[in-house]
Amino acid sequence: MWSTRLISDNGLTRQGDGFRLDIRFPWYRSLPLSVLRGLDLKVDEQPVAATDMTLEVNGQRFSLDDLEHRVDDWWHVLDSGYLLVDGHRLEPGSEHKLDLTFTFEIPYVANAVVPSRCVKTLEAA
Amino acid sequence: MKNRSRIKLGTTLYSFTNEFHGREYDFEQLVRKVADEDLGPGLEVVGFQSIRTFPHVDDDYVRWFRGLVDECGLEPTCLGLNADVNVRRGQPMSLDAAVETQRVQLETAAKLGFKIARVQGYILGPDAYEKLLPDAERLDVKMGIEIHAPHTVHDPDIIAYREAVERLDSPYLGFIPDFSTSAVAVPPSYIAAARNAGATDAAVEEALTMWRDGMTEDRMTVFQRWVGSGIPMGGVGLLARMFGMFGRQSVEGWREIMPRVIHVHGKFYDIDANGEETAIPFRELLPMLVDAGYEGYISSEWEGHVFTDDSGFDNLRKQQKLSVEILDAAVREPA
Repeated sequence: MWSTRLISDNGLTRQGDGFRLDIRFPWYRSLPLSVLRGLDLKVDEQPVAATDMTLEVNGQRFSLDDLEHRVDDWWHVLDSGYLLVDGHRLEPGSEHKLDLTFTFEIPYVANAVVPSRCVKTLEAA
Repeated sequence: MKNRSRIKLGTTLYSFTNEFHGREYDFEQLVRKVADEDLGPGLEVVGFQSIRTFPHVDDDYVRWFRGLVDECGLEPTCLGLNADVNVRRGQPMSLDAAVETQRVQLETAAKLGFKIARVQGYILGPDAYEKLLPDAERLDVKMGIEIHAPHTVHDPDIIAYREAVERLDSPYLGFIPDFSTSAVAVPPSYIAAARNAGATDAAVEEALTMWRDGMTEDRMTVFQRWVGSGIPMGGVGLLARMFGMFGRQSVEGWREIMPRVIHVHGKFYDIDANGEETAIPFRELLPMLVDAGYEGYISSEWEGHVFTDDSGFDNLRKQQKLSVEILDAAVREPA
């Protein structure tokens, strides 16, 4: 199921004063970033503010509130995207519970908003 | 797999979404495995799943794709198109813009050697396909409007398509029945997935009772309202979707459109220990197709990957074995 793979195994990497989380688009096909409606992350039960996160896809970084305009930026179904989270320092080798809800709208039907949730405990590399 | 009827079997690579999305097999490996496992000869793909640059393909890609399929002894049957009308939030594409996206995708279908393109009935309406008919004829690619849960052949939306198909009366516009429309039960693995996600026994019982009573689109609303009265969420969201995923149309209902059927999606879920499909009445559907004179392809389409981590290949082997048994018997003992 896509929700099993939403957060990649071994996907937590310390970066700067925060971390990077390797994630996958939970659907069977490629879609443009403009269909995303929500990326809600909790780390060890604490919600991460959307303003602390950017999304990196195809080597480009996007703020979460800019995504709905990104009609021509595609997230290929086999590619990882990266949630870059600032201001959350993690100890190397520490374990954390990641709880991500990824919500998007299917563009080829009407009014179909699909939430997918994945909870994984990962070690911070 | 070969069978004694005039109907040909095949596979849609969508069945292997767990393997593909899970990066266990890439596109080429999936095609080769379909051939190695004798799950052809038909090969169906969804453009936006299998082809990175879709809808654009260059000459090198076309040559490579066609070479691979030929080398594997497979026949490209149907390319799944999508009309992404709502790609821009709150600003649906105009009909003409949407039609143009389908025109581009039809061109790609033709380049890749597909004789049929799956188009969807959810969103565009019959006018779109009327506008595309000259392109379909020019490209020699037939457009098949997929009839898929929650639609049935009797829904007003589908009746509108049926009227247009009759009026236009072209071999380049027909239907693709998807067997999700005519389920007789909800697959056990679906209920298990809902329980796993937290659905209570009470929620499962209520949902199944409503579903068995002869559900309609309204049932989803009725169930959701019942849910809102204090039943814990979690798996209940998944349960509610059963009303949209598994339809209740009779097998005989398909007969009304059989003269316009150009391709079939053999949607299926769990195969039990006796080799029988638990939710989709293949033992009635396949003889009906034979009796109606259908001579096209059936793409086996396993969709359990939406709610399980199981293997598409395991399920495909079982379902095609079952299909061969049923089709062989149908020509020995005609209905």
